[in-house]
Amino acid sequence: MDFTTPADRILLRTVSHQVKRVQEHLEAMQRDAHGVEYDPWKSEVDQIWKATFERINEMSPEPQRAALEMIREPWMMYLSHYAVPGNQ
Amino acid sequence: MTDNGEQTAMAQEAFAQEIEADLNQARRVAVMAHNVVIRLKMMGLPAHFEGDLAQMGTDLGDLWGAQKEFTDSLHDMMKNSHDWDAVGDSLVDMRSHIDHIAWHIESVREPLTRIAEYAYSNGACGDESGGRADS
Repeated sequence: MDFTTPADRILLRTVSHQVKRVQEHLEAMQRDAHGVEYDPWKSEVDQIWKATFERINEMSPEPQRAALEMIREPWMMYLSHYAVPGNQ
Repeated sequence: MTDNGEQTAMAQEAFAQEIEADLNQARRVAVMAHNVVIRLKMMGLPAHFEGDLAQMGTDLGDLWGAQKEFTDSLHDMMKNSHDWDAVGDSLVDMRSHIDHIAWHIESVREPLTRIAEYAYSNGACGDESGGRADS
């Protein structure tokens, strides 16, 4: 497996963890949709997405393309259901 | 030497070995966070602490969940990592958990301190309120 550097592999796996964490926090947000915990969960999810794009930005072109493709669906779902204008 | 399309496919395959979300654990973390909030609300924490309480509850709940994930990754490396690729995976997993924990440690510090100060100021050794939290 020499198609990615060790640094890219670290970034890919880290991004995979971040996507997992987003999915888990969305579960918590749905549970507390009307509770006081909703805003802190959402704030963390926003921060995780920001960190995810920062990690992807550090990748070599090919892993970067693959990572962007793989996060496309959860990112679009998040934008359509949870994003607030001016809060991205 | 592979072309770009093949490289992308191989990278996607590596990425596809994704770590699946544990939604049951996510619900347990959410319940823990909610229980922290309810516990202190029932003790009479004033409404103006609501923002701090929500932040602290989610931070503590997520720290509780993250330490379990970290422990699981450490045990996994010690028991199941018999080659360098597996060791690398375990170490990156632990790093991811450590970064997550670090974020919550930073986030929780101030709201936790404010609520702790309120708790002591209303405890038996605090002011004249005699332990009542609704003064």
